[in-house]
Amino acid sequence: MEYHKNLMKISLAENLRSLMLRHMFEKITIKQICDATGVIRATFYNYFSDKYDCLNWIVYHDIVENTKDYVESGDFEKALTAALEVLIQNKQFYRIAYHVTGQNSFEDMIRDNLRILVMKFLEKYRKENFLPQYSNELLSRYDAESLAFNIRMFVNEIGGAKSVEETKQMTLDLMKNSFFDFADVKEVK
Amino acid sequence: MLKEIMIFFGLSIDSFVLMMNKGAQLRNMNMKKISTYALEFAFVAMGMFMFGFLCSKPFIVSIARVKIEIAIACLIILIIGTVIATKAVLNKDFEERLDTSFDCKVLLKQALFTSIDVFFVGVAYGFLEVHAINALIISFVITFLAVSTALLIGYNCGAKYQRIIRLVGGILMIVFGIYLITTYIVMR
Repeated sequence: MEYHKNLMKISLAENLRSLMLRHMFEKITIKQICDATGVIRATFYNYFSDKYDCLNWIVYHDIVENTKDYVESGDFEKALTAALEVLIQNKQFYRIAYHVTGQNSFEDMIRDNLRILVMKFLEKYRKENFLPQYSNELLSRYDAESLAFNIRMFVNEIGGAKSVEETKQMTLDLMKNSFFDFADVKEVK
Repeated sequence: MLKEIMIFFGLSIDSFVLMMNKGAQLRNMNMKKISTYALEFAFVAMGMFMFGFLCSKPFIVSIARVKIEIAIACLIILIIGTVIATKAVLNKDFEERLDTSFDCKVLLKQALFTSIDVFFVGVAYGFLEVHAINALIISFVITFLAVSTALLIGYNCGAKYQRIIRLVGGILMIVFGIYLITTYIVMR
């Protein structure tokens, strides 16, 4: 039963993904998604509350679900690579999705799901007694912002097209090194 | 009778669009929900019409003022039609989102709000001094049918066609308003 439920959810989400390649997100109706999936309109509400919820689930599936094995093994680098690979496979979709703005913007969805991913790592592998005054919530939000920035650059080819490997390396370099590693300024004690 | 049907069809457009949007937000539909919504709207529409009709009575003063009252009645219908048609153009597209609430109080407020134009038509009927009974029955039946149909359309097809429906209803009222002005003012 759970398997079938998940299959239906994936089917609805994938059909929204396909529809977004041909139509503006704002113009896509729930009926169109259901017609493409071959179900009645009301079925959609068994899985999602609206099409924004469905779009958010696509991002969750690509960024969080897709990398859960690497969370288990504590391999952030491989998790990042896996996420970037899904993004590059669906680059056209993600580029179009970035045009979804306003109250339920796509950029917020990306950020929220990256925060979930980082939080999962921190909950399992946070170093004990290292700057404990900063909560996992704060750290995950902070890191999600910078990851979201990198993903936006990668998807929209801002500053030139980069490969998965280049983007991954840039992200890791920026995460490992701070401002004080890059700038020779008076270090704050 | 055809006139009444046309008027109340045009007036039911606001309720129709509202309930089509409601239908588009429901996870499941049953006869109980449809009847509850439809009866609530139909009774409110009937009540507002009667209230408007009775409110007009103190203002029917002299024969000399009859033309003015008729003109006001016709203008009311014309204005309502224009407002409905304008809403069709200006209103944002409705966002389809699941709504699990089934609150009769909220519905009552919505029914009252969408029946304000029915109140004014009741006033117009009072000025025109036509029999209200036929209009009452027709308003009830048409509102009931409109709300039931709207819920089913919204549930099965979504809320995509609300602009066209509003525009058609608004134009219908404008045409009828012009017809009334022509019949009761210009031709007499």
